[in-house]
Amino acid sequence: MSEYSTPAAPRLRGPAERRLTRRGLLRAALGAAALAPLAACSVPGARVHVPTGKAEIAAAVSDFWTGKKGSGKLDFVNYTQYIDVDPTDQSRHPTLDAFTRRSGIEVAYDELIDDSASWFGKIQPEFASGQGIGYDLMVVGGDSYLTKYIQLGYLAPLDHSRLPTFAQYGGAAFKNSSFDPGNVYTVPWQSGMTGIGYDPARVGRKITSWQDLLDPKLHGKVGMWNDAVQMGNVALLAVGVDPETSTHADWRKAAAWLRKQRDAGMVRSYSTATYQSSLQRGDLAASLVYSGDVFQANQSGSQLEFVIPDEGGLLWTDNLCIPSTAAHPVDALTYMDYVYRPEVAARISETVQFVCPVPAAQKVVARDAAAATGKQHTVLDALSTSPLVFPTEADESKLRHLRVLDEEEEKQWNALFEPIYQA
Amino acid sequence: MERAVRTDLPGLKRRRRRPGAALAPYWMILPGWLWLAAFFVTPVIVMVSLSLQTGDFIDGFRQTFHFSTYADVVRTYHVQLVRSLVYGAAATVACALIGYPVAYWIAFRAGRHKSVFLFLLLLPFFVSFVIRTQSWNVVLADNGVLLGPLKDWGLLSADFHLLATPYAVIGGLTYNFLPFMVLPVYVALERVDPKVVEASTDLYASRTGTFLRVVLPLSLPGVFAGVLLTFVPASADYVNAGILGGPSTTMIGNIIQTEYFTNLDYPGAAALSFVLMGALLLAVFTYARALGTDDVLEAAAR
Repeated sequence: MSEYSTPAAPRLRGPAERRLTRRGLLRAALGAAALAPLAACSVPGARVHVPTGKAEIAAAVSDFWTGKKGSGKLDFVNYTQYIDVDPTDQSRHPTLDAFTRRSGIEVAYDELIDDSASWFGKIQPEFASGQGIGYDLMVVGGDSYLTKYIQLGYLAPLDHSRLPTFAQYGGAAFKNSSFDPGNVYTVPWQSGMTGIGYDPARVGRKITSWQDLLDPKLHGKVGMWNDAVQMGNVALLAVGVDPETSTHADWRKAAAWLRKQRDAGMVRSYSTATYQSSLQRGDLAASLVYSGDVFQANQSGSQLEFVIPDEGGLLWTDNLCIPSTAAHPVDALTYMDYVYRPEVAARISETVQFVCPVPAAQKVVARDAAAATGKQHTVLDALSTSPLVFPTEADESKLRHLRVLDEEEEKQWNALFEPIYQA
Repeated sequence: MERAVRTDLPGLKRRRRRPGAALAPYWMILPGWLWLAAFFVTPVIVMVSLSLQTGDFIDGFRQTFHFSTYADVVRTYHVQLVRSLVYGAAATVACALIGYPVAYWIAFRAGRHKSVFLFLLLLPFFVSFVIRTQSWNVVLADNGVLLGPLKDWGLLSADFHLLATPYAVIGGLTYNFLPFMVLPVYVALERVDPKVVEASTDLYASRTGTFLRVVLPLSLPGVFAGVLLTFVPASADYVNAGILGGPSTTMIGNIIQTEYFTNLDYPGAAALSFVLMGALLLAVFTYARALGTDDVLEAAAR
């Protein structure tokens, strides 16, 4: 090697360098020309007319389903760990296998959904370009994204004449939700509660109220979420307002409550991704939690308590729906009807352990518990009597639904609640 | 006479024979330009355009040259913006302080095992970024493998915690971007001719003197490249703040992600991205100036 590089010495600069030269002018002109194409770009809206009223909906249903036939195939996409698994082979799902045996429909099942937002971001371009997304059935949370799917015409209206088991076994509390009145586009897959989860050993007392999350003893040990929807609704409960009938003034009060909690140093972190493990490890003493997560944590040895606070907890629903671009919609509808059979719903609940939208499944789980032995018996017995999976009437009376927001409200809502966790 | 000699030059002869040959370099670079145009220039124009639009997702965004979106996002998010640059800079400094000795050691002391150590350095990259960051969440847990024993021995108070603090976030960034610092520094040190070092000792320079006056200056271009490679992605990162952070460690990447995916506020997200890009360019050029380098890219490429 004969050449050695040395750091460049600063070049001498004269005042001439800064003068606007002819070349500089040319550059500026080119820059202005480059702005021109900007004017041509815009992102077109895609709002479709959403049918309302019985007759219009019936017409939309018949438009969509007339001439559609079963094809013996079904592509189903779901959240992770959200269906029953064969204990000896994690890749097999007994209820899906049973469905294939009954109906002859082959199911390709994927667990690719992490959360509503990223999933929407992933498939929206495919919807917008009119392509299929490769799935006939997907699970969508009952939040503002579901409203977007509907407003954009991405969902097929359901033919309820082919969903007799849903009509017969679907629990009343899970039908006719505010985000999809009359279940025009969706039926519930699983439901769940948002409440407070805590470790009694660390907290040293019973937690019964949202106000307990302001207790100085829990200073720096409370977990909240980076999720404006859940946080806002929870805070509305904390200030004594039913989210569904809340006003903009109530939202401000709720945001102030969260801010007070934050500024008092109560909150350790705002995270939906890590709260469960932090709670199990003891980094958090109490946290906003989903009911099913607590049940699952306790199955692996934790001693956590789940409580629906006195001011109320949230009942939310994840839903099955059929994309309007589905290649095999009839098979998707057949499956939707199948999962409302109490035996099937029970099998799924025994693994998933969220709130089961089929109350009749409780008897099936109890029967399975009686037939099982050892640890299996203990788990199923706990499950069949667990208010986390089959809420009691007293619990149900304390549960409220998420506020459904339109576009404008959503902006105001986010502007109020996001700065609290995105500080 | 002289003229005749000139025409005999082989280069000129060839040029005369094939006049199109002068354009050859441009033809060869054309695929590169097309690539840049398709995958860099076009998206950037689309994003600039998007940042100047107004509307909402359902009803569409229209081009209105609404420049005040930029002012709005800066007003709303300047705290997170500044914080991101500070965290990015802190992580970069930490990477340089840790990475330089590592690179030095591999370049001059590792002998025939160099490639083994370079491989070990890259080994963590075979595991997903998110999973590695999540592992730190386990390691740094309040009563975890690291802090648990220290608390048991009474070296730390029971309330002490690292997670959810800026230190955890900066530490995570440092960990994740360290190889981006080590590799270019290593390459620069590797290029230092042992003969120069020898010459320096022959001229009675002490070991420290040799390092400060010979080796360090010769490796500075590597450090410069390393700083670019760490500072830019570290400032824009959103994974570390999301997993290791607390109530007030939100970085600008987290905000852009929320604006884009959760709120579907494309103009706001695009404007914020350009503000970040501008801030990063400004920081990098200021740094280059302070270092006495006039041409940033040339220095980085060296």
